[in-house]
Amino acid sequence: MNPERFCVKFFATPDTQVENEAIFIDIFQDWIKHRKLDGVLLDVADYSHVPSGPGVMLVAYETNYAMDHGDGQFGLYAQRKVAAEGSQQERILSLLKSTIAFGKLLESDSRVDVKLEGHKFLYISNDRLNAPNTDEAFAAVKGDLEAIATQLYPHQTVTVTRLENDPRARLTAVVEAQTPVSLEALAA
Amino acid sequence: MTTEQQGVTWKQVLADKMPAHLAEEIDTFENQMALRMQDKLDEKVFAELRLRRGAYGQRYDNGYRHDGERSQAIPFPQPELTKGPDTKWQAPGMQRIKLPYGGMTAEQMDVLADIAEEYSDCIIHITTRQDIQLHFLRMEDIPDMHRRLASVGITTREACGNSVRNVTACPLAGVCRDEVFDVTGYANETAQYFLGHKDVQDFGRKFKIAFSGCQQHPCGLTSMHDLGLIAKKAVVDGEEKEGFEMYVGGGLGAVPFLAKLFDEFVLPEELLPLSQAIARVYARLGEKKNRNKARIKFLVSKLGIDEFRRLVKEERKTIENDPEWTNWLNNIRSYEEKPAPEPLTKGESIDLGDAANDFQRWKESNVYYQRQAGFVSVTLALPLGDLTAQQMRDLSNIVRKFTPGAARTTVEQNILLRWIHEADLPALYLALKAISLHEAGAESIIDITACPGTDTCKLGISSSRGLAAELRQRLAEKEWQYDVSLRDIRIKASGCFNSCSQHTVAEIGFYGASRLVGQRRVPHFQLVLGGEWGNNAAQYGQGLGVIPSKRVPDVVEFLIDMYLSERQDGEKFSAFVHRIGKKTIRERVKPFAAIPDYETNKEFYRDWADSREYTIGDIGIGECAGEVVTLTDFGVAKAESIYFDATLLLEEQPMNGNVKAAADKALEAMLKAAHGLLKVCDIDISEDPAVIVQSFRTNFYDTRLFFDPFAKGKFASYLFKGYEQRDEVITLDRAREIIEESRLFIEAAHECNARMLQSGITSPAGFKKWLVDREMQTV
Ligand code: HEM
Ligand code: SF4
Repeated sequence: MNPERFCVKFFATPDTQVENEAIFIDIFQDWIKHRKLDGVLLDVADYSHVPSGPGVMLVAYETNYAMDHGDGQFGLYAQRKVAAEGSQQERILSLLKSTIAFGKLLESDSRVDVKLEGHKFLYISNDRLNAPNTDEAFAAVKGDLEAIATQLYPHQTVTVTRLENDPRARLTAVVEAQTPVSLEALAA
Repeated sequence: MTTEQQGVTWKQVLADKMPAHLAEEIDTFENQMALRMQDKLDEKVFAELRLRRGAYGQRYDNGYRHDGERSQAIPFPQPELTKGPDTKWQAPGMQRIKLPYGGMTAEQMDVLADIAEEYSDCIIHITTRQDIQLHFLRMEDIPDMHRRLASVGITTREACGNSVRNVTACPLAGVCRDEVFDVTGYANETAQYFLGHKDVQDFGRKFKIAFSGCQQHPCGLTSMHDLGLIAKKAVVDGEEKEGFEMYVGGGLGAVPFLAKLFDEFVLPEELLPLSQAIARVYARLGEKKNRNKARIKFLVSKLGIDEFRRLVKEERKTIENDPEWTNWLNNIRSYEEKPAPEPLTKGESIDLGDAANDFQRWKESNVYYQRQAGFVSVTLALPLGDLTAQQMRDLSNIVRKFTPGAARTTVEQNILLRWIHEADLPALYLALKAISLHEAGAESIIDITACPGTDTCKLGISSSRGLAAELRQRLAEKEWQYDVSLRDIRIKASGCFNSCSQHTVAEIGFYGASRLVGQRRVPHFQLVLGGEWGNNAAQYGQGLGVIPSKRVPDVVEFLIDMYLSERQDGEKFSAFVHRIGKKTIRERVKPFAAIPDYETNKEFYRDWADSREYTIGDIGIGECAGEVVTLTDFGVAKAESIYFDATLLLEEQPMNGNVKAAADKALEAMLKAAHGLLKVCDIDISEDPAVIVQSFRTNFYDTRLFFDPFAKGKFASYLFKGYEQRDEVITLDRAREIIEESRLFIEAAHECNARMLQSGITSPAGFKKWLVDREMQTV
């Protein structure tokens, strides 16, 4: 089983407060114009009017990146749409890397004060056919997530747990290291 | 494509759940995709096949996007692959999902949530024709998405293309206090009958059908549909029977038409055969080549309603009897919904706590008391028609718990829950609040309808959604959604003159336009007032002039303040507009049209929710800067005021004589605009209409200089037609039509002028040079 479509989400730190989310529109438009990220950057979609919605989104051919409020938790959500090369582990790692790069670029932008927590992320399967919200599907990805966590958080105790959610919702795993890590450090 | 490499596919998993004919159609489409990928199927043909399955293109899918300074090519991995002419395969697209009469079951809601999450961007958008749209989709995901929809009985077939589009109906059908009878079943049976029917495959253009349960309310919007049916009872052979008043030839779009009465009473058994006869006459005689004249409204207008009716009745006699016309009639009562006998919360007392006040306000604005005592319907006011996949999934649970298991979408881009026990309202409110679907002010002044506009539509000129979001926020701050005196005011915004938001029938409507100021583009909206949502949208609004996008919220506040302070007792907004007069209102909003220069305030040169410097480069061809001349500007500006006078003439009472005078003025306005443009070729161009028309044809039509990138020669043809028919007898409808055409012609003249300026065509010498260059290119 090697799903092509899945998502990751990093949460904003509790003290992150964005007064006016419209600033993300300016920032993402600039990034598209100056091609600041890898991938085919396409457009900005503004869903900030929708409560607990995906906020402002940068749409790329491969991935949608959104400053998302899903489940009432603000953070950087990345939805991989096009299959990347490699094994499941390589694919997940590749999305994590591009999401971390996105987050780092955002943290360094002087127009907004967003900090993301590096020590924890969600893995969300986005393919109910190949990775349904079941124990078996969780078992099939757990090992890969653990292996990835060892790479991302060397010398740390890491837990990979299945989020208890609506069975109709997507399979979601919480990957969490014991001690806080900045995104900056993760990117290194 | 299907995820075959991984063994199991949706095609296999859902094989037993999909109706066989739907499954087969989807397989066929998947094959067509494969053929297109190998270039074995022409891109034009593929585009039509794709559209007939509701899979649209989206803005920037030609592979270019303007970043505010220049148009950049989008580096798709395989730019050579196309899904239509100038349409990149890898560019994201939109899917329209048809919901007949806006009905959706809880099970369907779950699937919609799943596919929005997996293939789209987690957002489900309700459209102005009770459809659903998903955006930013990959072509490869379309067949599986269609399968998953088919597994719960939804087809996207003919959601687009020149065929019968979604059949709409009042969302309150079956529970409305004023309806004659429930039209739900009739709407659905009509939709099913025509789906894929051979007689609806050869239309020149789309065909929209709407059902309404009564005459007086707008919910069905029958006046603006190609075929409109209003429930009615009549005594036939001494017995009271249910039937329909039938209307044809309505439509919004660039030139709006009010539908004409086709038949005062059609019995249910005649509903489908007669509609079919209409479809056949339309397919046979309707315009096919010129898309812009192809809606049935043009055919009805050309033939006259009497002749059209005669032809249809003739046609009806020739159609062979089809059992499907009537075999559903005996089951029509099966559409009745059966509510739970007891309230869910019977005997419980729900503590609203801090929410008690908000609950009260919500109850006042979002709750409708059904005809059936003890039951209510509840409107969920969706911001810009959007909700998240997660909300939809949670909502499906609420639907299962509190209703007979289904909900309806509305043309105001909301969702309606029906058959709620009144006693359950507090519990329902809390359940909705938990998923943020509890906002008050449904169908109020803040519940603004907007088409996709520049967000995703290829034809968008201004950001209708950006504007709507801004207005919503500003008006909510004033708490105008709770003001009972503003209860009847609707705001609707379209991104261009195509009217997809149905702005023409709103009390306050807007549609996108752009103007050149100095050497820069400024996004604008045309202000449309005087429309009427009541009486099945029986009155269309008219343009009062353009306002820079960034001043539109100020104008709305100004108009509302003016209404609140100057209205007479009980006077509705549209009556107020009528009494004060458009001329006065236009004068009073004029100060808002001023635009500071770029250096003073750059904000005017950007659109809402977009930080890029505004361009129209993404709709037409790229732009380059040029210098400014004004002889033409003067001419076009004069034309605008002549046009406006024409609209005023039609408002005067008594009407006698004004109809012809109004049409003459509308023609005069077009001639003036054309004359203004012609100054570029010949500064001394004669004022003689014959000379203007001839010279315009030679210099602007034959050279295609006046052609709109999408509408091509459509706008020019308005001038030619107006001139040719100048001595004919003018009906009120024709006068209205020519006035609309005149407005569009003037709009096109603005555009043409801007294009000329930017290509350096500012003098007879420049014009000649352009002609010579053009000939060199074509040789
Ligand atoms: C790709 C984007 C779109 C294009 C190119 C497009 C094009 C058009 C055009 C050309 C018309 C005028 C048709 C006529 O009366 O002759 C029209 C009308 C209309 N469109 Fe769209 N449209 C688009 C998207 C939408 C969307 C997203 C909606 C929302 C459901 C919509 C709903 C309507 C409605 C309600 C009308 C009024 C026509 C009537 O009912 O008579 N359109 N559109
Ligand atoms: S009104 Fe214009 S911009 Fe809006 S959806 Fe229709 S065609 Fe597009």
